[in-house]
Amino acid sequence: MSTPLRTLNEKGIALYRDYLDALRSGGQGRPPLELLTDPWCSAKVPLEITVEERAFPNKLALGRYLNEVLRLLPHAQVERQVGLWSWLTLFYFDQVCPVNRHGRRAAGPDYRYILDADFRRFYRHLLLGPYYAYKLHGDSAALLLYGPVHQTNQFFIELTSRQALFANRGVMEAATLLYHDPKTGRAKRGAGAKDKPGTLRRFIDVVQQLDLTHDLFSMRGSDVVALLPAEFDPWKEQAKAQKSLLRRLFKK
Amino acid sequence: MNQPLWKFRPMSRGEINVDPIEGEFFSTEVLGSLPDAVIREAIQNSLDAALPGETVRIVITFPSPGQRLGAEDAARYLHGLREHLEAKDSGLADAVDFGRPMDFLVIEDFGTRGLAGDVRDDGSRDDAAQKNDFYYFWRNIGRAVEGATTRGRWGLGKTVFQAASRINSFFGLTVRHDDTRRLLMGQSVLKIHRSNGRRYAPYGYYGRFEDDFALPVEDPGHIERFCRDFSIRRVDEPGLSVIVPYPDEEIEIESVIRSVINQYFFPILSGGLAVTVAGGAHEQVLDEKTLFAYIAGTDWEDRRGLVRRLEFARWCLAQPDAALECLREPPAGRAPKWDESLFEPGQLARLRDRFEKGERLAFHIPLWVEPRKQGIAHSHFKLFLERDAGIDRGEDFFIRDGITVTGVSSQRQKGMRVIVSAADPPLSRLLGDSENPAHTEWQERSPKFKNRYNLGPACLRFVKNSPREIIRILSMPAEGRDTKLLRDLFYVDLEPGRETRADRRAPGDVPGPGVSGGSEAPAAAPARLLMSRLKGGFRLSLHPEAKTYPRTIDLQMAYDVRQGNPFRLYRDFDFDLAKPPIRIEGAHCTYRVVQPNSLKVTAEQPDFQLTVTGFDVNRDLKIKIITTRDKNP
Repeated sequence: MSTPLRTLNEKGIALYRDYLDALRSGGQGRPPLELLTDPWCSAKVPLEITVEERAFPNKLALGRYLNEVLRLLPHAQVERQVGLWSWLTLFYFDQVCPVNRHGRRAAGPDYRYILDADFRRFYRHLLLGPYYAYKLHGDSAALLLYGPVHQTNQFFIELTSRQALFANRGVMEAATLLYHDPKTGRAKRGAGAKDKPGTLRRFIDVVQQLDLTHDLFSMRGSDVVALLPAEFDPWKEQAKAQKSLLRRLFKK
Repeated sequence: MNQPLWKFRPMSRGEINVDPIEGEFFSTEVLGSLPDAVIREAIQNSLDAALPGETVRIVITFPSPGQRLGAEDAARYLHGLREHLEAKDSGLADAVDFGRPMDFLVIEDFGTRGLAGDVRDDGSRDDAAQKNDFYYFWRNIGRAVEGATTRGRWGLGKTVFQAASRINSFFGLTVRHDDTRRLLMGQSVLKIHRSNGRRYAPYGYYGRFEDDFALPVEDPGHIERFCRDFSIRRVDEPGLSVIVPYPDEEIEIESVIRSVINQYFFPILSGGLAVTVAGGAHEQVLDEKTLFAYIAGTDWEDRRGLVRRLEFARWCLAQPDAALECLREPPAGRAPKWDESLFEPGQLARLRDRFEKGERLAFHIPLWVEPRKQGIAHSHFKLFLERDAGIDRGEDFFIRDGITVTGVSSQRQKGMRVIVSAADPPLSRLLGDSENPAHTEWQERSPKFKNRYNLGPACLRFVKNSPREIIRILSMPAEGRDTKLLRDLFYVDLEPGRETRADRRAPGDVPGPGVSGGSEAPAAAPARLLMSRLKGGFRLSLHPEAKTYPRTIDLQMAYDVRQGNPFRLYRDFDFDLAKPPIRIEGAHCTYRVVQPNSLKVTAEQPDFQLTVTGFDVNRDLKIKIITTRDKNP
């Protein structure tokens, strides 16, 4: 079923925030879905855009879908629209704050649902984050966007908190090549470990060092991978094996 | 009377094995260096224990080779300890040669109250919160009594004394102000270890014992001999003397002096602290009178900047309250925010004008704090700022009760220097609660801070961001035309001879009142070392024009990064100097890898040469060189 896209106004956002507060205080009332269409609390966006109620298997699918739906709106107008993103999380509330196995909704901090302009929390919005990551990197954002919509994975947090890395296509492609397992659709086991050579944190450290000597913005993922030192060799080998397997399958 | 000795408690059957972890709070990664950690903690403890109205005097003694303790004499103070140190699983990094004279380091404070309190307190009484310095110093790790200290919070500071010793042990001799008793004890922290088939707890004590309960030595004969053996200056003045046997080689006279100046310049200049560093026949007093002359006489590359920083600090301390620009207090009950409403009408325009002219500015900034379940308390802090064209990036110093909290920084504006000083008790308490155990950061999530204050994180951010925000507000463009806006982009180079000192100086860049240095500070020393680039490394040798050559050279290496301090961001995985592919070759010099990224080189002849290769050619290598005492070729 399609619903015309709208945007919450200040009153709508305040009521939505009250509901989130109530959830965190132990209340278990139903989401205030009436705000979505209430003319006192929301307004229609100026284009004929509709969104569908659908279940997303992971954040990558969600990011792809939002990019498709919002393609008519200028990106610069979309990214800072607090009301629009708040309306969308309320619309998909069952996915951003699902009922858990105890029959309760466990609401996280407000910035996961209501867009927060502070750069540290901006990308942590559960819908804008995937939208933005997909917009920048397409399917190369798979490493950032695996897992259900209501969960944010460690790779997303670490990489989006460093604007220069997050915005860099070559670097993100390299991270995906090294650490994403296309078979499981998730990060490879051990890729996020702390204090281990060649893992994500080391990748971030080393890329920041290479950033001084190479124009990483102009490089492809495979070129960035080629620059990485020996501690990344096991991950490179795995990536190479995957690539040749895909090639063989494709030939067949 | 039983003879003093070292004793570790045998562990009982089934007792859980837990090795001590407190050293991790003081890893050099957090602190920067071991000398920094030792100096920070030792002086902080002493300032906490200051007697009212007294200047705290610290004496740090490095014994001359002749003052070191012969092996036989040293054995007397290791009685009962050696077998534990030599246990295979003691956790000591390197074996110590007990057949050689014992080197040691003595840190003494004067003008303090000493370790007061009941020496028999074992913590079993209900009134444990009662102030008992002796009990908390010797019998607690990771615990500090509430309110007993203004600067420390965690009860972990003394663990740096063990960390400073290659046998993880230290002695403490205190003379108490209240009852004049002289008490000597020692502590050793190893891992759980086995000796003679028994399993022992990690904590051992030196003293006299009632069963396994350690009590201090009070025998005057024994204490006098101890004082003679370890060159202790204290006779009967109250205070504490800490003796670190077999100190880590990283702790050297020059590194200690630098640490004292970097971390405690504020209380030294205010007259509340004087530090004497003694080595053999020479001693250097660092107090408000001698500090500038000492720095000016060094060959430190950064001495000019250091002198300017200290001049500014002296100017800050000299500002009477009436000379400070007082801002408005942020509205109570709401998160304090930096904006123009904090300024009185007309005040901001006047300040912007003074800022634009390059004048030094001093602020009194009121701020309320609200501990949970208590009322609002009105407090304040002071902020001082100046322009200094000589600094490449912004410098800010956050000083709480005299301690420079080195890890806090908010502004990076080139040419700006800011000092933030918080000493008013309510705010100082809030900031102290947010400090990490190493006293290098203010953390919103610190367990001793979180949930303790209403809007605590907002107050903390208000203070932390104050340099950046004040500069932002003062820098807002005035209306009208700015004739100097693009002067850095469109300019004509002057011939070198035509540039005058006044040209190089920023507006209002004048030395503080009555201060030598600044423009009088000596020019930079001529180069003494020559560094040549090799593929994947470098070669270090003496500069052909050098008149002296350094005896020891400390080299620290790290891959460079775009933002932040590369040496702090170094990780073992980047490279390890002791492992391939790194290759080190030395001619007419000896070298030792002291940390995976640092080398200590001892030059034996002027034509020495050191070659280090094997680094990643894709990354830039940053090299820090520190030289100490020189020899004539």
